[in-house]
Parts: sequence; structure tokens; C-alpha cells
Amino acid sequence: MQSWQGYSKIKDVDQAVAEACAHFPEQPQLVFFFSESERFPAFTRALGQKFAGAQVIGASSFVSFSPAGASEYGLQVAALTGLQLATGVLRDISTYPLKYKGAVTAALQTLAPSRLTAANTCCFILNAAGSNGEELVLDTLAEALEGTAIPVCGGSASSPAILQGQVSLNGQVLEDSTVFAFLHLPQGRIHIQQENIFTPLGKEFTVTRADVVNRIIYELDGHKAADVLSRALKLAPSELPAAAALHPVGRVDGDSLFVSEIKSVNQDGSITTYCRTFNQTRLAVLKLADIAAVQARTLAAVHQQLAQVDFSLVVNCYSRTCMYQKLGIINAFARDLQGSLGNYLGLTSYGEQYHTFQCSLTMLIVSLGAAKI
Amino acid sequence: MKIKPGFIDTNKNCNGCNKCLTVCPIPGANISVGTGEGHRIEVNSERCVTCGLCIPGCQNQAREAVDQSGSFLAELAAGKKFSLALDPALKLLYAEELPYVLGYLRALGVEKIYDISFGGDLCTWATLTYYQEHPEASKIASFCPIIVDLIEKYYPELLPELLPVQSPFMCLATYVKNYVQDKRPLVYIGPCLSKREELAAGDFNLAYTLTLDKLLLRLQQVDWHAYWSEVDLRSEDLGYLYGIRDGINENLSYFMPPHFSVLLASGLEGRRIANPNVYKSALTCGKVAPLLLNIRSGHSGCIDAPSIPDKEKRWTSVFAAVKGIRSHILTRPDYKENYQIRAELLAARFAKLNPADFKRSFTNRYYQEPRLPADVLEKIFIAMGKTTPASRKINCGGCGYATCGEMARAVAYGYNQIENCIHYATAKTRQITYTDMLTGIPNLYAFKQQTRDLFWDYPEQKYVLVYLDIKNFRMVNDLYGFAAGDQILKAVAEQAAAMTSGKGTCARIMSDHFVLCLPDSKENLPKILHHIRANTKEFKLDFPISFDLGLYRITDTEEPIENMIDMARLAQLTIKGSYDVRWAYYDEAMSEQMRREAWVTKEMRRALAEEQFQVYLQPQYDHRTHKLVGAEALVRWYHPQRGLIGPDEFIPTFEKNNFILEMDAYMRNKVCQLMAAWQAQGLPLVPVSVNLSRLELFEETLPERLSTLAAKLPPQMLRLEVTESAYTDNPAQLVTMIKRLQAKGFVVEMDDFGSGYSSLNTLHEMPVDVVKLDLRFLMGTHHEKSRVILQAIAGMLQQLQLPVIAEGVETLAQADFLTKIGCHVIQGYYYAKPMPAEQFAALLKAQGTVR
Ligand code: SF4
Ligand code: SF4
Ligand code: SF4
Repeated sequence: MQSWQGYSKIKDVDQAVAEACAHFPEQPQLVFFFSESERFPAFTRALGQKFAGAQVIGASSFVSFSPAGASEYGLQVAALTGLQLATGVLRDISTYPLKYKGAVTAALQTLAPSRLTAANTCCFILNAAGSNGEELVLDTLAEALEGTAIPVCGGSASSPAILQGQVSLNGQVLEDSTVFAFLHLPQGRIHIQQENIFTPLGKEFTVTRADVVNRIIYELDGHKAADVLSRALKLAPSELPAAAALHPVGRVDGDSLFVSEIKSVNQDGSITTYCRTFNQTRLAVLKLADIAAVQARTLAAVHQQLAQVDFSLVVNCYSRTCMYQKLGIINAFARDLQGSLGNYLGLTSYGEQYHTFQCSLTMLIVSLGAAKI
Repeated sequence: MKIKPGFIDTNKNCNGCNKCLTVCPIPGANISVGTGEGHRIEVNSERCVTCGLCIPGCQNQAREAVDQSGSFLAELAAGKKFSLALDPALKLLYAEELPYVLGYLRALGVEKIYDISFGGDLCTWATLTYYQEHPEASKIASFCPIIVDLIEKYYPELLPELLPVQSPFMCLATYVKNYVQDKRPLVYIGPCLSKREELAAGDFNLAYTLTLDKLLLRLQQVDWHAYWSEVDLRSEDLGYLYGIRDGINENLSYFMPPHFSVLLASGLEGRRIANPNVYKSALTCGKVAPLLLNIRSGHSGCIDAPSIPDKEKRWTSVFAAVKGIRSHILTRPDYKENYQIRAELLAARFAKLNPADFKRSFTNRYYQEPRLPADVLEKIFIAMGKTTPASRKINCGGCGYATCGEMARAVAYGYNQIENCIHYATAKTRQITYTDMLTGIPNLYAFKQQTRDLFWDYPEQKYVLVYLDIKNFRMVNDLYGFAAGDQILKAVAEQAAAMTSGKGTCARIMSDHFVLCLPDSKENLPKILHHIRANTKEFKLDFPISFDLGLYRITDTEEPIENMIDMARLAQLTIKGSYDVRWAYYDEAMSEQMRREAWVTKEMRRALAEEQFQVYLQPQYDHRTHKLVGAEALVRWYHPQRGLIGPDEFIPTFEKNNFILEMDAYMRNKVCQLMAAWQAQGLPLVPVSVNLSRLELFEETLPERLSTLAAKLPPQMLRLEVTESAYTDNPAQLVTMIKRLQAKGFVVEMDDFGSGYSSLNTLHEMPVDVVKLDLRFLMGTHHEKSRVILQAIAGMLQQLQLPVIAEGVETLAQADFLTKIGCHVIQGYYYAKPMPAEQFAALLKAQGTVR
């Protein structure tokens, strides 16, 4: 597998595309790109035209990452060859993506499903943000991929204006949609690494009243969720909204932790999160861990799994990006990724998806490379 | 789950019977809401399709359509103008009442009255027009708003299959708005509860949706029979028949070619609409096209709507009306013509109308149901206590759902709560009924049952019932907190359970009290003592936990278990002495003692009121001069039936139940009265000692009260006896109180010195004026040793310059010895027994006083 990477901050879209793709091959198989949302439709068109024979997948990103650094403005693009892929679109993701399940199974069929394993294939998704539809997409993919071991991973597009992330496929911006791409390396290995910079505080509660669809938790252990959380954090209820960013909640599933950021603390004592929560599930209150140590472990884990990393897609949560900006470590973060992963393209996401879970405050690294013998 | 109120409501009659869940075809349309005492089921309009099935389904009349008739009549009375739209079913169901009610409403100010049957004719014409444009179309009829709502919300695959033609009501509303130019707000009257939803789809001005029954209920006081009105617009064809089961078919086949079929399909009668694919395949079955699939909501059409009460009573009216309409058509000249001519006539009738006005579109309101992760479902099952496959398939329907799985899903989505599973609730109730919630071992109720069963199962076995009390448990709670106390209770419970496992029973019956029933064997008692002692050491307490065990040997297993517990408890109460593990077996004397105490307790108040208690005085003499120098007041009880009762028989009980306070006060009162009388008689007084109980010593006003009581006496004549044990309670406060009493002139005596609690420290710190030695405690069996001890005490008291009174002196030798060692004031049988006041007065008179 081979990858090329480019970026441009030139204002003119065509010139920016020309600059960023200057060293790209004529006929790449797959082009990924991220840009700020204003010029995203124009980049979609331009790249779609330029690489008409390739699959061109893009998402708007509040901050994009690449070996060139982290940037709020500009085009970050990568071209790949030497892999097998199949792409498609799920539409109406805010209400009924299941209707398009056939698009997933059809795409899968083009790849000789029997050879697809969790180690050599993934289903990478990019969602238009703002619809709360990610979980319906994950449900749809779970149903469509039932019986396969193919892991799903990806993120929701972002923009500075909350929840207006856009996605595109082959020159078309798609509303209320998810672009999916099955990436398959017949000879190689694909590894997905999830990073949580949060760790349980040691306080867990049962969700006793929740609105699953609207992602609202009304009660934990039979008491108002906001009261329970503020007690757990030893805070006055009025201090909870400010503290919520540093204390997300997480769904505990065996050893795994699926982080869910608190979106709002509501007047009625409920909390709205970025992820769906079912009643009777256990939620843990989380606290920030040592970011640097966690990151070192994450990157080491990627290399533990792969003999060689050719290219990586990174999905980093919006709130993490904001936190890293505030801490002044955003460029160091981009550099660290480059130092460890080499060629990579990074998206700031409004929610990360891994397996059947929608998470937040998480980073996913999808690395394509060679397996260890 | 936030509940959005809608047109179907749950009123206060709801008792949470769950029946509505059983009849409702829509998961999540009914939401269980906790009420504190139980739950009720509310309607979530976001999911409800207003089918109304739960209205007759609820046997508690808790489900109803929101009644808007009050507001309508009020607005009408206030002069607001409305036009009415009458459901075609009304003419069929209420043929008799309808014209009168309409007359009354018109009198109130209703301007126009339109019968939706006219909309029925329009709808037939619009459908015909559609089929002329699409001769091979196969569609689903969109005339029932419930079915449209259902498809829009739950079966989006069927949306393209819906006939894009307005329903009769919509056609009427369109006609009235566009062609009659009537801009007045419309009021729908009819049995359908879903009309609001239907008109929301277009730009219509629908003010109210009323049912005729609710309206008639409001008009109960009105004589509407005095009015009459016809409608302004109504069907000229078969429009009225849209209200009956096969009405669509009857209307359309009158005008359509014979190969056009209207197929009736079951809709909401079961719990679920049939699989949409069934309808889809029916529609795509080319052989029957053109086709209109009529999915019906009610079995017999709109006349069967759930909002109509006692509708069967109205069937006769319906049959008559339908017959009338049909015969009217049969007698029409066009009946003889073929369908084409009839269709042409209909088209001519509406020639001036634009068919496009009567088309409609549909909205996709579907939301894909969130997929429930398997682990969440598993956790819910476990939380419901359903840990085995069989328990997950009980499917008793008690919760309102057909299966346990459905219920578990409802819990996950927040539609229902675990507590509403009947089996869960029963198990919980059983647990609460039979288990001590803190320790998890049986409670008293369960103990009684299980012990009975034990006796039944092993009739030959001899048993012992053990009553276990953790003696210093309160101290654990006070010093280490309730959590530590709870830990100890749990540990003891665990031990009790382990000891009785398989061979006996146990329970925590209250606080720190446990009962165990075990085979009466030599090994069991030591085993209990050993186990309980060994396993409480781990609690890192600064003192050992001590246990009192009362044991009752069960001789008659038929005896009530409560009695056995009482006996063991009685044995436990008799245990005295210091800590560790102590035990006592029950014997008959204990019962006797208990009965005695019960009698004393029962009689004491009456005795006080009737002055059965009498003051006796035991004189005190100076053994050197043999002169009377004082006395101690003692109580005697003369009971009218039982005669003289000794203080040993009642004082311990009085001390237990605190009656001693009243008794002491009574005695002091009497003594002061006596002394005042003697003083008045000119008798030379000697000091008299009276008791002050421990509890009184902490009453702030005590010195003042005593001063008032002894106001007529020289205060030093009243000596107050304080026991040495009072010092242990609150030494500092006691010392202050003694000083205050002394400041009032009273003499304070330390009573019973040497009775067991003595400490030299007490003597040193309690600022008493006199010490009383009780010879009964101090003279043991080893006379020589006792004499040495007495001598030492006396020497010490002399050095402290504390006067001494020796009581309990019975012989001259004792008196001589005491005098020799410095204790010369003697009280006891040697000189005199306690005597009635009169006798003592005589002594006073005879002897004079020594100061
Ligand atoms: S049927 Fe439903 S609304 Fe009626 S009483 Fe039972 S739970 Fe309440
Ligand atoms: S009206 Fe129909 S859909 Fe609504 S709650 Fe009642 S039965 Fe369910
Ligand atoms: S066992 Fe419980 S959950 Fe199952 S059907 Fe009966 S009441 Fe419902």
C-alpha cells in the first residue's frame, strides 16, 4: 500500500488543490480530504473532478491534522493506492438509514466477503453532523455486517459552527448522510486504536430514567442526574456545567469504557449527552488522566500491532481539540502523531464511532500497514 | 422519557392495571410513570396514533379523548363564529338526535353545517380522477387518518403506496375553504379521534374536535329537543357510507369498472399492523390491479370507533340509515345506467372543481428504532431477576406486554420500569416480607414459619431456642457510627445463618436482637459461644463485643413460637454480671418473677393515689451514749388485698420502670410533712435521711424544689442520700449539684458505700458530708478479712474527717467493733427495726435529741 500526502493554505480552491496534490499519482484509488467547512463544497467539486476515476471522500473539519501540523484553514488531502475498497452512502441518517442497508451489503459483496477479517478490513465512516443519527448508522451497519467481523470506525464531520459538519463522496456534498468505505488490505493489516484520556473516578450509577432517542438522562439511581453528578463530584449543582467538560460520563462494558461528553445540564435536573444511553445501564463518572502518558501508550500500542505503518486516519474529538488548543499543545500533538505514525490525516469530529458505540472525547487511529510476522 | 400530552389522555382513575398496554398496537405509546404508591400509564402522543383502542380497553374508564366541548360552547356563547363538519357516521349512529342538536347549535350561533358525506362524494370523484390518470395503480387507501398516521410514523416503506387523494374530511375542508370561501374555523363532530392529526397535514383552520357523546353530556341541562336544523351541505350519492366497514368499496365500485377491486385488510385490531411486506406484495400483485387496499382501523369502520360508548345499542339505527341511503340510490334513475355513465354524472357534478386541489402528500415521520445492544438486554433481564432462560419466557402478560422480552426492551427504552414485572414485584415483596433487609437473614415473620416447618420435618428432634442480644451494641453505634454497628449485625447474622444452616433456623427480630433455633445438644451452646466470640474480633473495636444469650429448651413444639421467644428473652434479661459471652437457661422462677413485676407495674399508680405507701423510719443511735441521733425513712407498701409487701418485691421494678422517681418524691413529701408536724408538736427533731435518685440529681431546679419542700424545717434536718453509683454518670455535674444542695443547708450522705462500685476516688471527689457503710455488703463470710477491710475504711474516713453511719448492724458485737474503729452511729436491727411514724414520734418524745 502506498500513500501520498499534501496540504495547501492557498485561498483559491483550484490552486489549493493543485498545490496539495502536486505530487499525487494520476490515478489514485482513494482520496481522503478534510478542510474547513466554508470551502468544503468547492473542494468537493474540485477534487471530484480532478480524481474522477478514484473514490474521493471528504469531511469538513474544525481543525484538520496532518504531518504539516494542525490547521483551522486549508486543505489536507491524502491519496492511497494498493488497497481494495468499496464505498457507499447511507442517507436519512437522522431518521432511517436502515432503509439503505442494501448499499452496505452491496458494497461488501464487491470485496469477496469471505476474505475480510477484523485484521485486514475496516468500515470507515464519515457522518454529516447535527442529526444525532450516528447511532442509527451504527445500528444499520451492525445489522448489515452481522456475521462478519469487520469493525466499524469513524467520526462525524465538524465545523466551527456547532454541528454543521459536512461530508462528501465523489464530488457531491451529502446532507443527512454517512459516507462509508470498506478498506481492505489483502496482504496487510489494519489496526484501530482507541484512546481515552479519561479514567473512572470510582463512582458508578445505574441509569434509571433516560430518553434514549434524545440522549437525555433524567435519573441516575432514582435521583435527578445533575444532583447525583454534582454530589459525586462534590460540587454545587450550579458548578456542574463548568465541570462537566472535565468529567464526562462513560458507559462501562466489561473492560471497555465508552466516553460520553455531557452536552448540557438542563433546567429540570437532567443531562443531555452526545451519546445514546439505555435505561438500566451503568455509567461511570470520569476524570482526566495524564494526557501525555496516555498518548504515549496509544502510539506504542499501534506499533505493537503493526510491523510498519503506511498511513493512518485519525479522528479526534472536537472537545479534545479545543482542550489541546487551550493547553497550547495542539501542534505538539500533531507533531507527535507524525513522529510516530508518519503519513496521516486527522479529522476533528463531533463524535467518534467504534464498533457499535458512538463515543465522544475519544481519539481513534485507524492505521493501515504491514502485519507483524 | 418525557411525555408529550395529546388528544388521548389518562385520568385519575388509572390504577396501573396495564390493560391499555395489552390492547395498544404501538410500542412506546404508553409510558409507565411511578406514582410513589405504584404506577400509572400515560399516553405519549409522539408515538400514539390516536386509534382509541385503549379507551374501551381500559376497564377503569381511565382513558378518554380530551373533551374540547366546554371550550367550544364557551367561545360560541361569547359570539365566536364557527362552521361545523359532521362525520358521516353521525347520521348513521345518531339519526334521531342529530337534527335537534344541530338546531340548538345553530341557535347558539353556528353559521354553517356541512356533512362530511359531501366530502365523501368529492373523495370518490377525486379517487376516480386519480385512477383515470393511473389506470393500473395499486394503492393503499389514505382515508383513515389513523392508518395514515400509523404509516407515516411506523411503516415508511408504505408511504409511496398511499393513495395521494384527500380523505372525505379533507376534501370537504378544501371545498369549503376554496370554493365556498367559508373562512370560519371548522369544528369537527364525530367519533374519530384522529381528525386533528389529519387536518394538521394541510392548511386548514380546524378549531375543535368533538365527540357527540361528550357534547350531549355537556348539554344535559338543555332542552335541545325544542330545536331543529338540516345541514347545509351533504352527500347526494353514497358519501354517507364512508362511515361503514366496506363503504369505500361501495362508493368506488358504483363508479369504477368491474375489474377494479377494493381489498379489505386488517389493521389495528390485533396488537400490530400486519407485516408491511404483506401489503406490499398484495399491491404489486399485477393480476388484481387496479386495486385499492383498504386497511381498516376499526372492525366495522368509523361507526365502530372506540370513542363511541355502547355502540351496539345503536346498530339498529345504523342499519336503518344505511338501508335508507341504499334504497334512495336504488330508486335513482342513474342506478339503471352503467358505471361509466354514473361516473360521467359524478364528474359533471364536480366539473368546476380542480382535481389538483384534492390531492395530498404524506410526511415521513418515521424514526428508526434504536437497536438494543445484547449486553444491555442481558443486564436488564438480570436486574429483573430473570437469570435463567425459563424465567425470561414466563410471558404471563402481567406487565401488559406479550412477552418478557418485550417488557425488557420497554425498560431499556424507558417506556416501563422493572418494578412493573409482576414476577419481579412478587419476588421483591416476598423478599421484603421474609427477609431482614439489613442482614439478609430471615425476619421474625419468616422465622416463625420456618421454625414451624422445622418442627414438622423433624418431630423427634429436641430443640433449644436462643435469644441473642449484643450487649454493648449501643456503644458501638455511639462510638464508631451506625455503619460499624451494621457491619457487626451483618457479621452476627452471617454466623447465625452458618450455625443454623441445614439444621435450624435463625432471624434478626429487631435492632441487635437475634433468635436461633437449634437442636438441643451439648455441642451447640459452646459452638455458639465460640463462633460469635471469635468472629467479631475483626472489627477493630477498642472493647470486646459481648453477648447475652437466653436459652429456652423447647418441650412442646406445639407451643406458639412467640411464647418460646418470650421465654428465651426472659432468660436473657435475667443475666447479670460483667461482659463477654453470658447465657442463662429459662426456668419457671423467671416467669414467676415476670408475673410479679407485671403485677407491681399494674398496681403501683393506684397504690400511690390511694396512699398505700407508708413511711417507716429506722432510728440511728450513738452507740457510745445509746441516744437517738437520726433516722432513715423507708417505704412500706400496704396493699388492701395482699397486706404488707416488702421493698425487695417492688423497688427493683420501680427502678426499672422509673417509677422510683415518683416514689422518692412522695416519700420526701411525707417525711417533711411528718417532721413539720413533730416540730409543731414541740418534739425534738433528729435528722431524717431520704433518697435522691440518680436521675433527679441532674434536674437543674432540684435544690430550689427541696428548699421549698423543707421550708418549715431547719434544712440540716433533711439528709439527702446519694448512691455512690450516681458518680459514674457525670461526675462534674454531680459535684456541682451536691455543692448547690449543701449551699441550701442540706446534708448530703453517700449511701451504700462499699456496695460494689466504691472507688476511693469517688470518696475523694464527691463532697459529701456523711458516709453510710452498709454492713450487709461489707461483712462477708470471712469475718476476719471483713473486719480488717472495715477497719481500713473507717480509718481512712476518719482521716478525711467524714462522719460515718453504719447500717445493717444486727448484733452488739458488731456495734461494739464499729464503735471501736470510730463508727459509732449505728442503724440496724440491733437497735430497732424500721417502725411506723407514730412509733418513731413516741421515741422522739421519750428520748430527746443529741446534736
Ligand atoms: S388500562 Fe391503562 S389507563 Fe386504564 S387503568 Fe389500566 S393502566 Fe390505567
Ligand atoms: S390511542 Fe391507540 S395508539 Fe394511542 S395509546 Fe391508545 S391504543 Fe395506543
Ligand atoms: S414475567 Fe414479568 S416481564 Fe414477563 S410477561 Fe410476566 S410480568 Fe411481564
